[in-house]
Amino acid sequence: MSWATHDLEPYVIQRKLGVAVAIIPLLIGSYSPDILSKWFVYGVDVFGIELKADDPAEFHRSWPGVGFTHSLFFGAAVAGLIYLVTKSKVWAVSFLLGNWAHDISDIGDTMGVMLFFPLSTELISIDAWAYAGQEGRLTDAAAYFSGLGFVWDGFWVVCALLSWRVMTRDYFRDVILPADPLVMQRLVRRLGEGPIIVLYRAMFFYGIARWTAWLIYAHVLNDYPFDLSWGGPHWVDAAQPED
Amino acid sequence: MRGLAPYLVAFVLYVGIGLAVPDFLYSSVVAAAFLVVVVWAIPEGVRRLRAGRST
Repeated sequence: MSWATHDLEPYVIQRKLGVAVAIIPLLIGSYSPDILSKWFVYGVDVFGIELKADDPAEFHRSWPGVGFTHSLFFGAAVAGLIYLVTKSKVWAVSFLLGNWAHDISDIGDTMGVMLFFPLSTELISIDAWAYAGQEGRLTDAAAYFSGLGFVWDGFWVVCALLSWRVMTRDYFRDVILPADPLVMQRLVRRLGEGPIIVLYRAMFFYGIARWTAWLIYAHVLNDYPFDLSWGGPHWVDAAQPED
Repeated sequence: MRGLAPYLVAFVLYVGIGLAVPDFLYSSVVAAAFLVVVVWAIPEGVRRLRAGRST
């Protein structure tokens, strides 16, 4: 899995495509593969009862499980539904791009994604960094920010910073608002520009802030070793697809 | 630069709180709410208070 990448890719796509895409469905699409399932991967404690998948990695990425949310088909199907409901091509295409960006980014870890589900349940992966969701969320974070995952996130931090113009008020008025009469213009009319432009900037802020914080957590406050070798860090038990 | 300052303050606060309580770092919804409160709601509240006092 990727971390800040999913926060920042939508802004870079927005910068490249301008009014052809809308930021809200881009962000929803980018978060959509994990949005309903991540809590069950890490597990939660409800009144003393732990709710957690028996095999978190398989549940998250395989079938049976919710791995279908990381497929190109899922993104296209939900984008089609969005178009049917909203009649907005911009919303449908934006969701699709956000979802597919997430799917393709997650190919980088050792678990991979069922990119071509339902045609195939094969997990596509380049094994660049360890998938460690099954180890709990703190170890997952420490592992991701010790291997090539943090480099991948760092690449998107740089891309986002190079796209800094998307954060300006002029860009918000000239591109973001015209691109999305469906929701963004209505929100601004109802609540005013002040809080909405801050909300618009929020996931950009979140991506860069949490990338910084997790690096400090893993390597300043704790002594998790960096391991930038392919498939690392090897100090964690990386999940692999079952045969 | 004046526009950037509240975001830098929010960044330092967010990272600081996140390091003290790592669970804080997991939620995009919490991050968005935090940013709106620090960058918009608090300054707006202070501005309205001051405007109320000066009238």
